[in-house]
Amino acid sequence: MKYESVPSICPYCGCGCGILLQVLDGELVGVLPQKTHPINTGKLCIKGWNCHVFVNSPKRLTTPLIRKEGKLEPASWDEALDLIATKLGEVKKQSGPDSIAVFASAKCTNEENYIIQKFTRAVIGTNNVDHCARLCHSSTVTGLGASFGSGAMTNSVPEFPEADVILITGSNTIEQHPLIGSWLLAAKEGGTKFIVSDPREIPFARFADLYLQPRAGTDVAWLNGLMHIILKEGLEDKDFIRERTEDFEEFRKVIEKYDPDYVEKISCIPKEDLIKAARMFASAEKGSIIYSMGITQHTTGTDNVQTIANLAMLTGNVGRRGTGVNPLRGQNNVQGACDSGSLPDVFPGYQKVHIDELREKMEKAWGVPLSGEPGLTVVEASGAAREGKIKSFFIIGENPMLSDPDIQHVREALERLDFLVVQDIFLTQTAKLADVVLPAVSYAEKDGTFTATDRRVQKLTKAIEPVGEARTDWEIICDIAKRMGAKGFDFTSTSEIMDEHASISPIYG
Amino acid sequence: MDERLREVVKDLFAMDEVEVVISLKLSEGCVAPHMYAKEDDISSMVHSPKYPIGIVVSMIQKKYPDAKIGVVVRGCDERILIELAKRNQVNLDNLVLVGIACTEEEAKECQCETPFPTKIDVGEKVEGVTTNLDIEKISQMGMDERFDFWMGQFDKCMKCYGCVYACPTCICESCILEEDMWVKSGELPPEFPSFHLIRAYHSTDRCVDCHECERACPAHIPLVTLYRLIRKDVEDMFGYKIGTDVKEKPPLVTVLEEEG
Repeated sequence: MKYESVPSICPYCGCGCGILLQVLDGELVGVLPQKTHPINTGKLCIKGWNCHVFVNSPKRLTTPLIRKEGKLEPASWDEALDLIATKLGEVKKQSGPDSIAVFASAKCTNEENYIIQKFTRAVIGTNNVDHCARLCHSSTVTGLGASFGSGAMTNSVPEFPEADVILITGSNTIEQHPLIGSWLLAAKEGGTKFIVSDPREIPFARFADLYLQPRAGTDVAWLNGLMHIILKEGLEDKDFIRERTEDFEEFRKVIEKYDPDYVEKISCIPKEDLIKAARMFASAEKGSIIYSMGITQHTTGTDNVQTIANLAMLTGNVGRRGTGVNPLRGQNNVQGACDSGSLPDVFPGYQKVHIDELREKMEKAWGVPLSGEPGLTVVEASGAAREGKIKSFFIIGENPMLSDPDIQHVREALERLDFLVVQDIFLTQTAKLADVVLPAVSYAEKDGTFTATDRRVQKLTKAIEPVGEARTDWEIICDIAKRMGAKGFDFTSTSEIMDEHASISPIYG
Repeated sequence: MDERLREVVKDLFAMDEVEVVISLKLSEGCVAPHMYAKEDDISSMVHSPKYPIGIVVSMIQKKYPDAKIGVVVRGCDERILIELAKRNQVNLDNLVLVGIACTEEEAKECQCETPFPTKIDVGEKVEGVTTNLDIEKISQMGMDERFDFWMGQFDKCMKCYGCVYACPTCICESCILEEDMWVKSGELPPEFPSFHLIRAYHSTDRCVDCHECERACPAHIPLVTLYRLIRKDVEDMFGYKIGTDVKEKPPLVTVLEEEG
């Protein structure tokens, strides 16, 4: 008779809520919210309250599977891993390292993402590693990287009630980040004013002091429109602009043409509302901006993000509590997967692969020569596979056959591959197409860390033993790396991996 | 208070009265329900913040009906166990309760009428809070104002079902609030008045005022006040006092039997 509550982190979204996994005699029987957690303070959303259910699903993968005569058949770990090591070695030799692509996962831990990108770069020898951030907030990583030097929330979630005005755009916060929604409702009750700008009348719109309904895709226009009014009425923060920003005069010239009439024509937001919104936001002592995929998932996503950053800088709302630019990231560890280098153009800690000095540092740390050529993104890799340029995919904890755009396109790409490995906890639509399927463990069966949307690095604790023969993602990848003759994968714990990660990534050091 | 609690639990183990004790454990800054065995180090045992420990006890007793289990309880925890016993969810005969009296501050925070269990082992008994400011405030509102107040509160609901999951006396295996007929899936907020009023009616003869629902509510809806107002009617009409006597049958059960 043994019962314990194991502290962990919810595996759904970027809020990063603290949960307690209730374990009775080694069996995961329920979830409780951590009352002492700074984000969720004893509360959860419906997904969090049920996040133990899928762990116990009878559909979990329990053994490696190898395709034999067209069918996926159970196999031993040795057989599966030897086959992968041999095949990847062959493809690399015959078609070059850049003919292999790896998809990492925003559901995996920081340590696992570190290992996955290290394996791709140091063992395969390519920068073709990317993950689902490409489809959500990579425009944030790029846009805020350019504006501020760091592509993440500038402030922390519990600061929201300190803001005087919060502008929410492209984020259906109550449904997509419910526990951040909880902080917003608290802010509302504490007197914070809200401007909601969204083509859809989202649930939070009914709590807004001002609701704007722009036409989809006109974000740069209406945001520039707000800044035009702010400048015309002299509401900008002149000290902040002088001391902290660059190229203001050029910016002013661009903004000049976005007068309310022009913007109303583009965005369909009545000019009276634009003026009200501009005055309300600019008059706030502390103004905060929240956005999410409604801003980033456009062809102009990066521009949208940078325009939001401009509005924050114009009004001096950066660098103080209760202010800032706050992108709400989707997956539980999408921030961490980006931080840990699962992107084709950067090493861990956003160190650019094409900068010689940084690459040399990594080469020294990992003891192998590395490619300085940025790799292919998720979407580019599928395209390249369809054209026959990519011969092999290794997909970990992602399901492009469900989540990527143009699934028919993805299917054609995956079916054309010489060799497809999928590592997951379920036999997903993507896994069904694989040559080898490897069973990984869920969040409840492993240690490691997730980085929440507000950059909070939080620890998971293994609560139960792996289901069937499943293994952790990092152990599997290290095992394959060693079978391919690589050095530098002799880790015995996630803590050792994080030590290495921290030693080379300034942001985690 | 935690020191005293550990002494009492140590004595309990020494007398061989229980095999295990269910209490709260502080580890790496996180407090959580935990089962301590006799040989365990109990220096991590704490009493705050409180958790719905009745849920844990019921779960463990279903697997180990004969085990002698010690449980550290506050006043509301004891009332929960009594209500669960009435509904055959726990067996009080196999439980040894270690009673903790809430502090004056805690009693005020919950506006709790009975902030102590029947037998107090740890802490000093403080008087219950009899005047309920939230209820007084709402009672002074006119009907229209009251309606607007509650509609405004229900409008915030995110349908997390936290009030259901956190409630230690919510025990139905299938919940009516998950039926599309009463609460449509995929719609926010839930259609008035079904979700909150059905839940309020269901709580009338079992809500022990433990505040778990309200503390679990991400929308900060004053659920305790709502349930208190409805529960008061049941108390007045049936003379029924929740969580006091395990032999006293809940009116929702008996009335239905008489009518059936």
